[in-house]
Amino acid sequence: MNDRLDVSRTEVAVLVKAAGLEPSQSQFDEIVEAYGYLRAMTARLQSGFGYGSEPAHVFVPERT
Amino acid sequence: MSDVHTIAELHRLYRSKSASPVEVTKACLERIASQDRELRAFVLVTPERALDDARQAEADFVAGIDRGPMQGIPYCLKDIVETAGIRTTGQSRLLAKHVPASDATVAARLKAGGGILLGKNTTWEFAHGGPSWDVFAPPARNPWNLAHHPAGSSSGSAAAVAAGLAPATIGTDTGGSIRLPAAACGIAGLKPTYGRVSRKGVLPNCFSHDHAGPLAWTSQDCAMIMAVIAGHDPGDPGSSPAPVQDYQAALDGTCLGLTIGVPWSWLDQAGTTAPTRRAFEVALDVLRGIGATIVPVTLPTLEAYSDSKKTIAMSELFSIHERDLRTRPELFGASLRYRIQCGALIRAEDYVQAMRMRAELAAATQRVFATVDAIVTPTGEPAGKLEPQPHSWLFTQKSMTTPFNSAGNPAHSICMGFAGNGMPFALQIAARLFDDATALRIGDAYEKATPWRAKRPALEGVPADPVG
Repeated sequence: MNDRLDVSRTEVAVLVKAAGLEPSQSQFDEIVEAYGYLRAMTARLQSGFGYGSEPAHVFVPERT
Repeated sequence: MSDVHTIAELHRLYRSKSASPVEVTKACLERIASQDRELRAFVLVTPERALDDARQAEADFVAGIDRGPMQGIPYCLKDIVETAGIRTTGQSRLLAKHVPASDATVAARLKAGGGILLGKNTTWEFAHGGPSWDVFAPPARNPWNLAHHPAGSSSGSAAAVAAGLAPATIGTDTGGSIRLPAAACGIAGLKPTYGRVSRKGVLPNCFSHDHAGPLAWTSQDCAMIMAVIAGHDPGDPGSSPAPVQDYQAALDGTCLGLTIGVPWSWLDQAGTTAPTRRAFEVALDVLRGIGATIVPVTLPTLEAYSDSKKTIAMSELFSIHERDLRTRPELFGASLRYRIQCGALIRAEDYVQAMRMRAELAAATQRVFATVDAIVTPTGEPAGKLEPQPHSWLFTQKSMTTPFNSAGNPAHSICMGFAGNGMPFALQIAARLFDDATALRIGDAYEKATPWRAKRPALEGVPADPVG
């Protein structure tokens, strides 16, 4: 089981810019490291749910 | 520490007119003054407010007014619980001067119940980033060994109770932040069912996984706090109108008639060490001796719960802090900033899939709870040294506490004995949704069948900080 995937620094730079962040060099390095773990984690998220598999945050209007 | 009392003891002493809330409060304030410089359990002590509350509680007793189990009881609040007119910082430089206009619901209920506010407890930054030495105040230490950490994020809360500085405190728990500090400090800590205790006025970490709950020396004390703080709050959109149990009435001193499940594969997945496993097996024998039937159960993997929870939590955390991260990132500590940044990289698709996975994990968990009254595991390992953790720990640590945040079930941690180095072991007890009373009942029965509650930390020696 891979806890971390290799990621492209270029890809991370695009994502960071899109998120409106301006990290320092050391902070960017941290983000690159984290993104490898994040990609591995989200790759493990279950997929192939049926149409009826609703997420846990379904809107309940009487609560508003 | 012979003048340190539990909530239950103070309850009896006050009603037999054998103790004074004012004198008890003064004793707590004196202990804080003499011990907290080393322990660092408080970021703010409120002596004037405490003595005002104490005089009011005493006057009420004299007048025959009894507001309930927390009347005259000194308590403290994790410094993410907002307090009217009293600084609430989230242990962050971002909120160094933040003074809320109103109390969080849980704070208001304790005040209305005649409790005595001693102050605000040290936490990890916004209940998520820590331990940190680059934030509003330094991290708390563990009373059992001041060179060891008290876990987090309700670190100061647990340290204060264990050291006898306060008999009661309120913490919060998003993935284990009441239970792990309770475990590290050898005390009792309950993460209630999601929606059982109001989150209104509690600075958010992850809206869909946050819980507020009690920490105290015993399960009975937690039950007494819950009697005051539990219940529907229309100001919290996640708050449940389900009827509140009589937590104290459930404490019969036994586990007779209870079937308790053990997910043995979780201990393997979490890398549980041999000493912790042995202590856990001894605890199971104690539970059998007081009437429980122990059976194996199978639950989804810890990794599945963790992947779902972390994807959701990092996304929500980023949404909470995104403006400050973009405009004044230098005010965050490095640990929290790393965690918030991760949330910026998660796709909406991943968040929704994680929520769909959460729904399935929660359903699978409740199917197992349909076959048992409770599930027990070790809460974690005994607390290690207080030192900076690598950022990647966010992704690599394995937790037996997170699943009950994902599923929403109540989960309670109690002291399970002591390791060879004197640090506490801890037992986690989870129960069915809105059956927090059963978790407290099992905890109380176990505590009364074991000698652990008779032992308090000695508070010796002040180590050098690992970070200058």
